[in-house]
Amino acid sequence: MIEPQKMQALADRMAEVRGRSPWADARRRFLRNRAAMAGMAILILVALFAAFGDRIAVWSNEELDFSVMGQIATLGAPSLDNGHYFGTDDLGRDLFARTVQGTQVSLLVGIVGAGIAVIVGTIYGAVAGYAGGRTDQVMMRAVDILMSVPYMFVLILLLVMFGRSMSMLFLGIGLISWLDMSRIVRGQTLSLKHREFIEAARATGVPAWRIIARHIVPNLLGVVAVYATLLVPLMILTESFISFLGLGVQEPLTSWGALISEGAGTMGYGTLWQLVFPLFFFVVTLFGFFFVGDGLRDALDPKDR
Amino acid sequence: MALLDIRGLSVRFRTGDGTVQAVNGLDLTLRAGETLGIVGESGSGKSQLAFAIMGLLARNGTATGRVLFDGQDILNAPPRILNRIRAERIAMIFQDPMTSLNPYMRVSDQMAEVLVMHKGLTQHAALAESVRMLDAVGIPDARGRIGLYPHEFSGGMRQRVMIAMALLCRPQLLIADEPTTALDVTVQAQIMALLSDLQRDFGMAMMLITHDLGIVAGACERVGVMYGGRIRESGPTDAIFADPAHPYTQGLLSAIPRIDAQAGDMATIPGQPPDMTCPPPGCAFAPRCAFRRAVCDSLPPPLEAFAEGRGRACFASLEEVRVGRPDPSTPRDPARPTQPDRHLLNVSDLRVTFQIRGAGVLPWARARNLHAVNGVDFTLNAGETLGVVGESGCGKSTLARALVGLVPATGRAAWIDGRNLIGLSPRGMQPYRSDIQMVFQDPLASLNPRMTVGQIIAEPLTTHRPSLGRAAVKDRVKAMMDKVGLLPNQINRYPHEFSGGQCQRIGIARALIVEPRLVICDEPVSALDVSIQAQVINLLVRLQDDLRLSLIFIAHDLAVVRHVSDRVMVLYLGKVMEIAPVGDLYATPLHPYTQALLSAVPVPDPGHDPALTAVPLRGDLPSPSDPPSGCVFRTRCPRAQPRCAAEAPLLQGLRHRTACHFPGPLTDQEIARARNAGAERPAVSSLP
Repeated sequence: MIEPQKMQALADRMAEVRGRSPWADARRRFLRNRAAMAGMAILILVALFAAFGDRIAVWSNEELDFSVMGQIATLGAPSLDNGHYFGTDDLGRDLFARTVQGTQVSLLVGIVGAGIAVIVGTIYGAVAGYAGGRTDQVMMRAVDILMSVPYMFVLILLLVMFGRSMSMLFLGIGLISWLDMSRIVRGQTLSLKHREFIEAARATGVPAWRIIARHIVPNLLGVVAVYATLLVPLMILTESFISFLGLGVQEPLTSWGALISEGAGTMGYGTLWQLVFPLFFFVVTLFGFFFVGDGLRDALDPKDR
Repeated sequence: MALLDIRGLSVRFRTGDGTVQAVNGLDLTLRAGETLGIVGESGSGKSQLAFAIMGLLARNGTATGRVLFDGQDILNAPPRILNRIRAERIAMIFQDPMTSLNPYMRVSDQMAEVLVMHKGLTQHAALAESVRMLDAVGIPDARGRIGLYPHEFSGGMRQRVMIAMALLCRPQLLIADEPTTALDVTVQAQIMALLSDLQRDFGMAMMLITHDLGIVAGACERVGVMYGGRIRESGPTDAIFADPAHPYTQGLLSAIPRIDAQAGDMATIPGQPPDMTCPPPGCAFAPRCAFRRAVCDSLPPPLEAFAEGRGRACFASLEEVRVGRPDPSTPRDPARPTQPDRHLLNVSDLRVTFQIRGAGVLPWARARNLHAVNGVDFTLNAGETLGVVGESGCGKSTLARALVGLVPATGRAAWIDGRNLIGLSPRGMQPYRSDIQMVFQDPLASLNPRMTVGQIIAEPLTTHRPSLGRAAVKDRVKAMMDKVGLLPNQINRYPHEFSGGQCQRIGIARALIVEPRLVICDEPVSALDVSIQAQVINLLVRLQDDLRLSLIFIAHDLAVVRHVSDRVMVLYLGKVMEIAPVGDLYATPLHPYTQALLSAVPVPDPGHDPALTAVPLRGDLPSPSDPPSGCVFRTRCPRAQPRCAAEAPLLQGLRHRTACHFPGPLTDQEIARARNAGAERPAVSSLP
């Protein structure tokens, strides 16, 4: 005879229960954070603008509008009629299209820079921290030496010597961005290293690379994610500064920094829109990243609040 | 009239995971000059009760009800009034003295500040009074040491400073929240004796909050037992210990291992404490109760008086509960298959030395050596449990870590095949790692929070048997989960979804999955509540019998060690003081240190007077980086002679080995003399 109750109990025991991972918890907390969600929405809108702005633009970013040329202050203002939604720049190029392009470049620089920092910095810092002893000393002193070099100076030198190009810019920013990350990750690794679950893995004889990959890095990702979201705006700022100096991306490419630089240069001629539109996207994006970063920190370390 | 009268106190915390109902309609009275013990496991709401009285709840907490202190309702009183009452009439001491003293202020400044603020004393008078108070709590050379910073005192001394600060304004009520939990047993005994003396001398009431029934039995007149945010039973200490009237109290009393009782299988309370975000609508204890009936699930039982001064909150009749009281223990099978002639592990002259940098930051500044383990010899037979006891800093955890190769060591640890495990290369050690596994102290911290239980338990298996297929690994993991009392369908859950006791089961499963021959348990139950501790110990003992394991069981709780061990080793400052079969060691300890340790353990029996039997130890553990010459114990030994300073004693004896120049039980005269010599505290009556 089959007892339905016993069968049910057996079925309950057999069916595997899904776990609630710490990541799922963090996601739940993050989704509940209004400021962070607003920041997230802003970032998504900016990303959509960068991706699909070209489709809306009437003019391309390279065309010169000869009808407004020479009378930018009067005819080049933002208007829906002639298709210059954000107005034109000093040469009569469509500022909307230029801003889309600048957004693409700036976001790319920010994300690639932060990406390099995350990958190189995390691995470097985790290895140094876990290995400890002399290896750690040598690896971290190397970081100290690199950090003591005035990086802006080196970056400018690089760009002047090897010519101004996107790849040179990525290389330059990538070279410096991981230093801070590796220090942070090493510090976290040192505190993780003496946690009992790492000792348990060591006592069992789990190989070092697997301890780093399975035990250390996943437990660092919270900190890394937070820092990465704060690093993206930092990279954008760095690039903007370089571009502002005129050493960053080359025409016909542009970026927020270059656009703001141009806009600031013509501010006195009554063409304020040339400054305001790029600046708006720049500021809004930075705010978005900071809010998201804050939200991530709250979501990932609820204890620190 | 009652000094403190609490009516219908409830404490709620709003958290991200829902509202935690920490205290639920609690009634309590405390008379002037009385000592009341509040006993409960973690999560029972006992600490939040204290914080609510003091108005110190965290910001997300709210308290409702009434707390009448001397007739005045102080619950949610404005900070101005609370500040006066808190400093002058109610004082509180906390578990960890280091967190409640400001590390950047001299003790003198911290103490004087209180007196200047509240008593209006001048700085000079305040300092003099502070010195007198430090004298009163037994701090030697109080005048000289009052200018020190908190970190310059040892743990026990810091707790004394805390107590002195709390008593500065002569409060009428002292709330002590787990005052000795962070301290070693011998120091705990000193502090408890001090608290009792001070309470009597100052004539104040004391509320002693603790999880340890042994402490309550020794120190309190009345006891309130808390569970799920309510008082379950209250009454005079003698009556509650002799005749517990609530099933939870009964369970708790039978679950504590007794140092003075015969070893046996430990009685447990089944199940887990309730989740206070959604407590059961009825009696919170009902799911774990043997006397559960329909009404228990729908209605919380009220606390009703049933005898002179006694109350209980239970629907089951008193007679029924009395008759159905669980048996405390059944003896463990004495004929276990230990093989006394087969040495699984033969350790000789094991040493672990840490280098600590001196004060200088210069790299060539001379490093000092800290001998955490300083020449330890012992053997471990196949199938045997060796208990290792000692106070913090005695090197017991370092010994465990050295044996599994987590810290570098020197000396010999010969495995059964003759290979010395110490100094093996990682590659050479690898084959032995599956034979020697470890269970850690903190159940949650020893599990990677980002891995599922299945992955955690499988890790040793995938490391040591890489040829096993994924399905085979999963089958073994599930079988092991079943064996340690976890539901195998929980394999995909994460550690934070389990309670402390369950997490320790996961840790045990991880250790046993590769079928080791030796499991080293480093304080496996010290982070667990009494009722859960008994479950885990029973599990370990059962698994040992089933799997023919050898265990090295490290603990500071001598009662637990007595319960599980065949032989016991006593460590002090990295050296073996005594090693003997468990019966001999506990019946006739030969080393004075062992005797002191044993006598300091609080016994959960109000009839047991610690003052009569305790061997007083002077002071604290010396720093392991600067151990005394000769016998390391001589600075605290009641029997110390000039010879002890000159010559280190060797471990002598056959079965019962001890390292002492003058072994043998201390006589009553010696104990009395030591007690008189140890009376550094002047009588309080000499205070103005």
